[in-house]
Amino acid sequence: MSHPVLEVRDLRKVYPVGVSDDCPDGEFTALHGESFTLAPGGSLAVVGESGSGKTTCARLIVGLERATSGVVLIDGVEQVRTRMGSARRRRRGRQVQIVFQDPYSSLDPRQRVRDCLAEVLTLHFDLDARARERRIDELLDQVGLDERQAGALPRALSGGQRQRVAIARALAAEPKILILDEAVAALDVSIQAQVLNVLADVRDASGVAYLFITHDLAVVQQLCDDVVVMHSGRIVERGTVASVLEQPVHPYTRRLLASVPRPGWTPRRRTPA
Amino acid sequence: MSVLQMAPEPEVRETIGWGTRFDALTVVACAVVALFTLAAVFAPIVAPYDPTQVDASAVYQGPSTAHLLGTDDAGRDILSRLLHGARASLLGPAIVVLVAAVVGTVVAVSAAWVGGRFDALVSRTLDVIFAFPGLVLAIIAAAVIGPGLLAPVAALSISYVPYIARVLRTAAIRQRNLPYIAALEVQGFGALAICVRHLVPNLLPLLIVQATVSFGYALLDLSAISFLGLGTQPPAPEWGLMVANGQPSIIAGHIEQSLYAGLTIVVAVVSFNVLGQGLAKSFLGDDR
Amino acid sequence: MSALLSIDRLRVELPAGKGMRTVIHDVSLDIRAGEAVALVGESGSGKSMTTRAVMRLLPQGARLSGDIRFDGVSIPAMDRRALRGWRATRVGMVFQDPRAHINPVRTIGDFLVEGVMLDGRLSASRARERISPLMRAVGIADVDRRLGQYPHELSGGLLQRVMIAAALSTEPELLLADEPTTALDVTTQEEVVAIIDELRRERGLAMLFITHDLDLAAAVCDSIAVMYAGSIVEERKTGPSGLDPSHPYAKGLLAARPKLGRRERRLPTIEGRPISAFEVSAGCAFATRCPLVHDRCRRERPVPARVPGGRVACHRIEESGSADSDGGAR
Repeated sequence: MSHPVLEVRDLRKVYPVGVSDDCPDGEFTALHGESFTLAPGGSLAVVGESGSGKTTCARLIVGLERATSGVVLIDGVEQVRTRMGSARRRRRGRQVQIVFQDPYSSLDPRQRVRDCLAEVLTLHFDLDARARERRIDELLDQVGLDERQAGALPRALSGGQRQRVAIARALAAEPKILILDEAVAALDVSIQAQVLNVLADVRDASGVAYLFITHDLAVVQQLCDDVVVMHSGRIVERGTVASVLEQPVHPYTRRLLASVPRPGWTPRRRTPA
Repeated sequence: MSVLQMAPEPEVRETIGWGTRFDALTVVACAVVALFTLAAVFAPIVAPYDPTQVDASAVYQGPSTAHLLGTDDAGRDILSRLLHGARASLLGPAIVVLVAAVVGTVVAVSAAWVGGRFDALVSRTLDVIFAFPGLVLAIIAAAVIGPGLLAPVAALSISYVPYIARVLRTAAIRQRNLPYIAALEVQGFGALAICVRHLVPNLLPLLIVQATVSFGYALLDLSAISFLGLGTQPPAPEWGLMVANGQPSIIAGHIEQSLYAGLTIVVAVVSFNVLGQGLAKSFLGDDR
Repeated sequence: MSALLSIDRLRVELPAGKGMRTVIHDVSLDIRAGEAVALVGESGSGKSMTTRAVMRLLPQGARLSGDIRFDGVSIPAMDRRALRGWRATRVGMVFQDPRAHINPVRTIGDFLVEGVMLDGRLSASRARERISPLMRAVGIADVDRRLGQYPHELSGGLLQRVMIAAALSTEPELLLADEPTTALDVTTQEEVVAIIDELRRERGLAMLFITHDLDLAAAVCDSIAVMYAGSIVEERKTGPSGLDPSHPYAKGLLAARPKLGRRERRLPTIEGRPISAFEVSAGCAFATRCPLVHDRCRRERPVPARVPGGRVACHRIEESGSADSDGGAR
């Protein structure tokens, strides 16, 4: 295997919380020093439920929060945990991007789609006006948005269209890694399928690596090659998607798989009546 | 049962949007405010007389074609004094609101952005200023610096900062936590660029609403200060001052000067308030 | 056997700007006593608005036509008193967001007791006696401690169980569950639907289950009605082997969902976006996105026709001969 485009080593995040019955030491550990790697052009799913630490993990990697300990290496380079200067910040922006869950608040409500993409391109690249317009058209085309939608404000767009804009904005920086933080979870089923197809196409075309944060195992199966399963801030199982989904070893993974509704499924209760 | 599901495109009112509908009352209030503004700007052209010209032969004249609102104890045309008075009466609150809006926005946005201890410090400071009556501060300032528009305007500018900053801070914190801001941070934009280009424009409707309502209150405060003789000095016309100057005449049975000046203040303050509430309804979907 | 809840040609219009917008278009649906029916659809399909109409919880200015009968009594025609009594005793509701439907400053115990006492037949102490076994039935251990706690001290899953206990506490005949598990984790979802399913069967309750998840609906309901743009496009009995819908929309919806154990090279999609009821022209609601669309679909609205195992509103299926049109009459 070539060297990983992303390596997370012993990453740990502790939040101070008030001292209470549930939490006598006044600390909550969201992530217990976990490690994993993502190969260039790979697609790794981080699967877990609320409180598993999967979103904390994403926020640490993109630098929205600072780790308590441990390191994030992008392209083999350790990411600093201190405040970054503007050049460094932009460089990280070129390496890793993120798409969030909620399509309705992921875009500036006052900015038109085209302006949103232009702003990002201007930040990262030294393009003349014509080259920039051409690049914007390319990006819009890649995520399947038309000219009319490009000129629209977010409120005129549906959830699926907004999520396409968010993907295009992330791709505009030409990152090596795209983190998708529950990026299709809020979409209706028929729209979710469209966006999943767009994501598959984008990866084929650009070779960007995906870190796919999700609770949805069926979606993992569709989009990812490898998977780590998280529970209460710890990775409990890891492997290829095929092996983990077909022969889960850890009881939690089994439980998670068993609770996905599918044809012939009957829900079972685990607490006695 | 989510209301969102009934809408064709779920419209989430998390962010402040620009509405377009105004009700009739708001339109009237807006017209009155515009009228006052025009009066202030064009006072020398539209006023029939020099507001300070004393005419001993025409004291206490009732309304007539020569003097639409009559004359005061010195024979000065009341209408002309009201029109010219609009200048001092509106300029003061305008400066107060402008300064408070700029300072308030900077304070609110930086507190929201930095958060933590800085935010706590800012909030406590705002609370302290908020608790101190603006009028008292203005009177102290006038006592220290001396009477005139400068001292009370400076004092009120400070005491109006919390009115704007407190509301804006809450909204800014909400915006700060929205994913579109996080997405911009991840792109590599600096804090200043994000605030100036994205955060503040999204707070603008709220800022305008707060500023409009504050304008009315500032006008009232400054009129009160002039009424007390600590603001604009005679013989220059100013509404609060006119109410005060008219007092001795009331005893003599000539209530016009105080009445008209007082009414003007009431109409102006009410108009700014109504306009502010109308804007709130339209911009923020706020039905208070 | 006559239906417990019978929705007959329900039509709902909501005020929008100057005019009215149709949000529910000629929806007819029967639920017999003890039967579980799912209403499945995407955002804006009208599934939630249908339950609102049943509960008479429509927004101000809404216009309703058609009829909704519960045990033969018309709900839209009930006076305030009758409506209050009916809501308090004969129907229970569970919502998507339990936190929005519980008073945050009162304890769980107060909330439950109040619900039981609504119909005025029980004293507070008798009400309390009824609650404890219910709490245990929904899988809540240490009942006494939980009853003294406040909503914010409970997780979403636990709170939803409290809501189920509350809904069942007045021994209703019908349970309305509006996306009761959408906000929950999958493992919690399994737990909660299992509890709903078990208690419903034990008590012989009828249920109207609103969800966007076809597989989930198939697992806990006897039949499924798929809604699109304010209309029911297909109604079908569920079998042990899952669903086999025939309406192009229902088919597309089922195919678009990624499946465990199978990776598609590309997911089959439905072109475009879901439209709203008021955007529908004279023809079929699905005509703008349907792969089988032809002229008649754009001109003429299809009525539900009987097919083996259900009813489908589609001209193409009708024409292929597998359906008997019953003209929408019931």
